[in-house]
Amino acid sequence: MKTPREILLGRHQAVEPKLDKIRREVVADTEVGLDRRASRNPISSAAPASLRELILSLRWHVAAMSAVWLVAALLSIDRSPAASPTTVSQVAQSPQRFLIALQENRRQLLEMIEPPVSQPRSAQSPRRRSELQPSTAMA
Amino acid sequence: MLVVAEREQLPVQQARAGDAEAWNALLRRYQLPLYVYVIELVHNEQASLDIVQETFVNAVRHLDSLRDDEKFGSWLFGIAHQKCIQQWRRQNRDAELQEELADAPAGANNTPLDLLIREEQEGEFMKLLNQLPPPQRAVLLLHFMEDFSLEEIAHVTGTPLGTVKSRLYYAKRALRKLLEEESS
Repeated sequence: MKTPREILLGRHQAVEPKLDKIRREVVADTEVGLDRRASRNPISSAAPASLRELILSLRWHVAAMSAVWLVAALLSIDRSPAASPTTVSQVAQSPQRFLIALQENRRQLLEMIEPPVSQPRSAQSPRRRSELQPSTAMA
Repeated sequence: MLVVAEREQLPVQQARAGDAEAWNALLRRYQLPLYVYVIELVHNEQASLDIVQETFVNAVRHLDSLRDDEKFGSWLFGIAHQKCIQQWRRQNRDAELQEELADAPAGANNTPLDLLIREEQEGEFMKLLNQLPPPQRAVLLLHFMEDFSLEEIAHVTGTPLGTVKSRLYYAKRALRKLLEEESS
């Protein structure tokens, strides 16, 4: 007794060599196709994928850097062209002003510690120095 | 003795990776059942060999379209089935393909082991098989050769499940009738 499968396979067993030949040809074509693809451009198949992965992994970094550069560019545009030299000169003058102010403070301190004896005291209280020399007082 | 094709582990994953040896094993596993399926539908040796070859080439080219590796067998038979339909169309036998039967009664889910055929009945079995309309023959061959489920046969043949059930039921009933007559 046989199953239908056994009967069917048994009846066509003779064609196996032809099927083997077909199979070998298809597998050989598969190997040739794969080899040809690999040899034609060994990097091309791997490169796009790796490049894409690299770009994707750095997308947030690139976006952040772009934003920073954009802000920097906007800030530099907002500055007026005349402002820069003034600022530079002010920065250059600041040590001199600092020295002048220091000398003035020292003189005021001396006046407070040792009042001049030769000068008669006026009835009125002396006017504030800020009222006499507004420019130096401000300094 | 291997009576029905078992659900073995197939090297589909290795074939996906382009392993030629895996392809060799896969195609060797299916070459004869596939050929039997095709020749019993087409009845032309050269056309059947061409269909098997085209099926193999298509499988190699389009394996990426296979989603479930365990369905490799039914997927491969599905490709071959489409090739058979093209062959039938070439032979102007569309009328037979249009045959549709009513839904089958319940109880058509027997296994291929239900039918055991004596040696002297083999000729009659093959004769009757070839007398069946191609749609019924296709369903019966898929059932016998690979023990595909009804769902898998429906997928291979591209027909509704109910139609597959009815075709299998009527085909097996016809075979049983023949075998009973022969034995009595």
